[in-house]
Amino acid sequence: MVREENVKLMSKIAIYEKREGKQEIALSGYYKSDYVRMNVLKTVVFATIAFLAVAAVVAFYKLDYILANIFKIDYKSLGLGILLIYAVWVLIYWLIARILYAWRYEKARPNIIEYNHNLKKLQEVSEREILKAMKGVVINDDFIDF
Amino acid sequence: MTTLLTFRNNIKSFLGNYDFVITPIAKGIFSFLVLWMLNKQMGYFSALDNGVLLLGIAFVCAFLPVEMLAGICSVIVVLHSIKVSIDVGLLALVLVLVFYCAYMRFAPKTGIIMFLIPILYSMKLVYAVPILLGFIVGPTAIIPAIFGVVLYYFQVGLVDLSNVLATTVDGEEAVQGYQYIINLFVDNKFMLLTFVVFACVILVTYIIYRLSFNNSWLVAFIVGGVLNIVLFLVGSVTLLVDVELSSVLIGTIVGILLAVVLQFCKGIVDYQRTELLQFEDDDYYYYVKAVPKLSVSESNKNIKHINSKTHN
Repeated sequence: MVREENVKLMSKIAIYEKREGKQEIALSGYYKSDYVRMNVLKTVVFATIAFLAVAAVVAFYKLDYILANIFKIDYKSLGLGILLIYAVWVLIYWLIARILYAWRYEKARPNIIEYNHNLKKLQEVSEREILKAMKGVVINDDFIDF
Repeated sequence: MTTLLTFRNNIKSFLGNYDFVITPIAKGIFSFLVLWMLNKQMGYFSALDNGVLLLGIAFVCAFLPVEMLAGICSVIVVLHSIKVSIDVGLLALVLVLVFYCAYMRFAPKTGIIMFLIPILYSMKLVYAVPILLGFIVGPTAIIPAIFGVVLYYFQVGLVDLSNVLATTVDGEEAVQGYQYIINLFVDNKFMLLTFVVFACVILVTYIIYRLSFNNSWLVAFIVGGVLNIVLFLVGSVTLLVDVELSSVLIGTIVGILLAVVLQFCKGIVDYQRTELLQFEDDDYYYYVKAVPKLSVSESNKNIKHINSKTHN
């Protein structure tokens, strides 16, 4: 028998899974610190790729100059300069990623709580129905695999 | 005003009811226009200059998230650039790669702005962009807007380069495409001025728009517009670059007018959608249509007067 209460709950759950839940449910599998750290690490990797790509273009553009002055270039100061720029670049991305992903986690938290609450409610309703069908006989929890 | 608001509510409820049809159609048309304009602007890779192919891609885009369109546009830009010269193709690849790594990972939905800017340049409406982005997207739009301007100058360089390559006779020293393009970027003061002005206008428009006094939106658009004109003028005088004043003026006015219209329509976009859902439990398959509860607009109210008096 189709129960209106169940359909309402299942619809709410399905709507959430179809919209925000697509991304937010994945978050619920992590602690906040783990989620932020993992994404910060990914961001640092991508920021490094972007930096290397730009550095390669600059080096390619200055290739004539580099080849002409290959023995005159002060590699120590050049390396330090590049490292300094890279450090600032990564630091900016690290900071942005920390703030952004922490904010995303906090934003998703109430939705996930409500989603879990709805799931629990649906489970309770189903349990009640089964009990009713069994005419009040208390059944062993192991019998039903929720 | 009441009529306009009623009209807006009617559109909102119409969109809410037929969202599952209207969104793919709108996305398909938008994708086709973007792809078509992009191909028209570049058009070096003749295989892509095929209406049926573009229609096919637009049809697929209609059912994909909008960030996929940005990805497809990136591929198209790279393919056209490769056709001009391999090294320029690599440069285009680096440009889209850096854009993805540095920005699109964080905000994929607004990535398409990068590909819209060159299109707006060709329509002479680019000076309207910062005001619109300031209130629709906010400060995060500064980065795709800057990349969009870079892409525009990349396209301009590509046109020049292809002309140069076409006139180069065999045996002459080959022109190095990537150096030709990068030289255009390095000495381009107007491009730098555009970066700064766009960033300032987007930021100021956004900040004023978010303030909580009456009609802050109108003040934001006007201040943003005036700032747009003033900064371009000051920049042209201090950096000694030619700014096409008529384009700036017309673009800014169009931007303000469009912003006012969009501000009115803004409420329409966040309509509640009718959802078509499918799920199952142990006993049944459910196909549910969840219709949002909406307030009834004035024109849809059907008032029936019932008089207690009886006619003799």
